[in-house]
Formats: sequence, structure tokens, C-alpha cells
Amino acid sequence: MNKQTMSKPIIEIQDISKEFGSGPNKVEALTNVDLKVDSGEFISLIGPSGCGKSTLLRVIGDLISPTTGSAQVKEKSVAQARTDRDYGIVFQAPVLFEWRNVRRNIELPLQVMGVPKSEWTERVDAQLELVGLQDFDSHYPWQLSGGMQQRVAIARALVFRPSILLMDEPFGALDEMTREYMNLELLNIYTRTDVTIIFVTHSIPEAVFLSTRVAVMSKRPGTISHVVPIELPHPRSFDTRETSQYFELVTEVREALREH
Amino acid sequence: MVSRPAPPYKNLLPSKAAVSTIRSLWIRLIKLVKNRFEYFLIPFSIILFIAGWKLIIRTQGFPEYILPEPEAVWDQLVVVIENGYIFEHVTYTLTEALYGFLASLLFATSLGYILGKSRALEKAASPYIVAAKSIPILGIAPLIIIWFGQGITPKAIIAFLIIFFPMLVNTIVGIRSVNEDQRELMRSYSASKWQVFIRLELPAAMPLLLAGIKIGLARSMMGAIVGEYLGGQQGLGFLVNLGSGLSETPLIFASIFTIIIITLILYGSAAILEGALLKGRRRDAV
Repeated sequence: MNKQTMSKPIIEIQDISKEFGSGPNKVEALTNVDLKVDSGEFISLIGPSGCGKSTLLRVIGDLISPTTGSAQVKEKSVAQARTDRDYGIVFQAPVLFEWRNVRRNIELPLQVMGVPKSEWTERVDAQLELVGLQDFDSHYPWQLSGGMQQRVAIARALVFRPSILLMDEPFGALDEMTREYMNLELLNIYTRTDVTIIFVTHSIPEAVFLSTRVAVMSKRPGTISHVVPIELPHPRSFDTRETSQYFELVTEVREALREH
Repeated sequence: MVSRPAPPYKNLLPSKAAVSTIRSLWIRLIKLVKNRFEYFLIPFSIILFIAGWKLIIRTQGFPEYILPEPEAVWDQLVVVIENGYIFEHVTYTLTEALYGFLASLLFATSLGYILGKSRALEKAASPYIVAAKSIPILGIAPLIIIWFGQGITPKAIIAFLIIFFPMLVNTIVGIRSVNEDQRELMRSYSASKWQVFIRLELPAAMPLLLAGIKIGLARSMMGAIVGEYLGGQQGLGFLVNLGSGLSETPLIFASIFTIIIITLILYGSAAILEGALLKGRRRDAV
């Protein structure tokens, strides 16, 4: 048993269902989903398109509310957690504000949350260093590559020190090489902070490489069908991807996915 | 063969050093013209325009009451500028245009914001908007003169009506240009409605708002002048009308050029404002 599991889980999802629309157009996106996440975990949600993994992420982040069931974060409602600014969110698109340069983009949450201006420079500098963009603070989004834009988005999500980072296919739009590099960067960030990460992806290698546990989701009903613990040692590197343990875990996740 | 004496102009020929200096200056000039090509086109096109104008008079032999010489127009301009006559009229027309513009800025942007936020309201309002848009402004302008008299007010109203719809549509489209991800991001920060407006909606809509302002400023002049045409004793539109009544074509042309210059100044100031407010944004995204 590691130290994380001794305290109360940071996220507790119980029997969540979510329906969109009504009548003949009704779509059941999630059915009876249960999930407990401990503080400091890195959980990947993986599954076929339309299995509701993004919906589940949005329920946790209180961007949509579930039809039934309860979702709690730090023993309070998800709505309260959002008000308390417990979430940093990274979408598939970087969603940067194109009229702000990199520094001002990362400052956005600090500005909205009323963090004293005197702290901005120091905090933003720390994030720029964390994502390796120290020399790009005055660049505008359109002057950066896709990978760099996504790093700005990660810096912006972490700058207000949220306890949970919700990532919705953040590297899905990147090319394979940039993606592998970003995976490594994200693990580096993960080990240097105490943030808990929920990571939606449809890439099996990515999920296995990054996570402490992989939650495999199925379609119709959209629910978590398997949870695969990933006991690859940290720190992980490019070499990790060539170990037999890694391949076995990839196979295990793939088979869990195939059962549905 | 008889050896010829050195030609007397020999010393006047440029030295080798001078030739290379001249050549490098020439290359620089060509580079400047190439890089700033668009600016060199402006004086060039003006010269071409005046030359074409004169050519038409020469070849067709138009008398002055049909088409005046450029010089006659220039002389007329100098006269009205020297006696200050033109400035009165410019001020009058500008006042009308700016009142119309400011009223439109206030109403079109606030109504546009509301309609941009609520599709239901937009649906409810759209029959009226389309109906109002289809009324030819020249058709109702005389009515407005009848209702509001000869002063500044009716012209400001006509200017307002002419620019209201383009500015309204630009505001609606601008507010709609905020994407759902950006809204979700602000929602995840628990941003207030005011913060969403000031940090997201306003800057996101800014390029289209400014495009509306640019068009609005230029067209407000047109609205004011149309109004002056139909009634009144002052303004640049009145001057055009006066010139046509007196068959004074140089006065008509002088007034038209003044209108063009004022409109260009308005448009140019709006473009400078746009450049300042959209600093750093990608140009083709604007």
C-alpha cells in the first residue's frame, strides 16, 4: 500500500449516469459509472469514440451535471470544487486567447481569480520554466507550434496551483514525435508537482506510459469496464517504452478494450 | 589617323567611385520601391488619374460646365479654403455624421450584444431587422426631413439608419465568434459574467467591432450628405447641390474631393485605432 491510498480519495464518483436529449433522440452517454481517485494519482480514461470519456471528465470538472448519481471532489460537491478553483483544464485544442501573448495567456486565470498582481510575474515565470518556454513569453499564440501552444495551455492550467488537472485528449492533435516528447514533459511536470491528473486519451501506449491506473471504458453502456493498474517504476523514460513489462501492460489494456 | 584631343566634357563624366555610389543608391531605391510598393502606387495613381482626366478633356473637348479642368477645381478649392467657406460646411457635415455614428455605436453594439448572446431573441427580432433593412434609405429620408426639419437632427438620423445594420450584424457575428471551449475555460475559473464579457467576449469580438466602426465612420458621412441633399442650407451635400444649381462644376468637384478627403481621414483614423487595438494579432485572422 502506498501513502496515497491511506487518506480519503480526492475524487469520488458514485453511480453516475448522463443522458443527452429526450424522447427518440435520447442518448445515454454514461451509465452507472463508479470511480475513486486518490490524491496524486494519474488516471487515464481510455475507450472508443462515443464511450463518454470526455463526458465523464466534464462531469468531474462540473462543466456539465450528471443526470443521476453523485460526484464529489475533496469531500465536497464538484460545483463547490469548481468555485474553489480546484481544477485546471487542458482541452484538445490549446484554446489560447489569440489577442494575448504567452505571458498574458498564463496570467488569465490569476487575473480572473483575483490573485494579487505582485505575484503574477513570479508565478508565471515558474510555469514558463516548468514547460520550457522561458524565451517565448512575449510571443503570440500564432507564432508558436502546436506542441508549444499546448505547453502554454498546460502552464496556464497549473499557474493557479489546482489540486486536479483535467486533460481532454491534450496531445491528440499533435504529430507522433511531438506527442511522445510531450508525454515525457507531462510526466516530468507530474513528478515535480503534487497534482492529481485525469487524462482522456484514445492512445493505448500513451495511457500506459503516463498513468498510475488506466480506466478502460466501453460503449453502450458508456461505463468503466476495467481498471488496469500500471506499476511501471518512476521515473519513466523513452526506454520504459521498450521494456517487456510495458508491452504486457499495453496488451492487457488492448484486450480489455477488445472485450467490448 | 589623327589623334583626337580629349573631349572637353571628359572631366564632367562621373568617376568610377561615383558610378558605384550611384549604382548602390539606385539599387537601394529599387529595393525601397519593391518593399514599400503599395505606398509608391498612391502618388503614381493620382498622377495617372489627373493625366487621364486632362486627356479626356483634350480629346473630347468638353466645356467647363460639363467637365472642368483639374486646375479650375484646384483654384476653386484654394478659394473656398482661403475664405474659410469650406470649413463651415465640413464642420456641419462632420457634426451630423459623428452624431449619427455615435448613436449607432451605442445602439447597434448594445442591441447586437443582446441578440448575439440569445438566439431566441435574435429569431424574434429578425423579421423586423430584415424588414427595416429592406427599406430604401432614400425612400424614407424625405419623411425624416419632414418630421425633423432642416437642422442637424434629421441628417444625423439618416446617417444613423444607414450604418446601424452593418454595425449591428458585425457585433452579432463578433459575439458569436467566441467558441465554446473558450467559454468552458472561463467557466472552469468560475469567472463572473462581467469577467467573461471584459476578458473574453469583448476582445474576441474586437476585430469585427472595429471593422464595423471603420465602415460605419465612412458611411456616416454618406448618410449625412444624402440628408443635406434633400434639405438644408449647410454642409458638403448642400454645396454639391448648390454647385449643380449654378452649373458651377468646379464647385461640385471641389466639394466631392473634400468629401473624399474627410472620409479617408475618418477611415484612416479608424484603421490606426484598429492597428493599435489589434496589436500582436495575426493579420490574416483579422
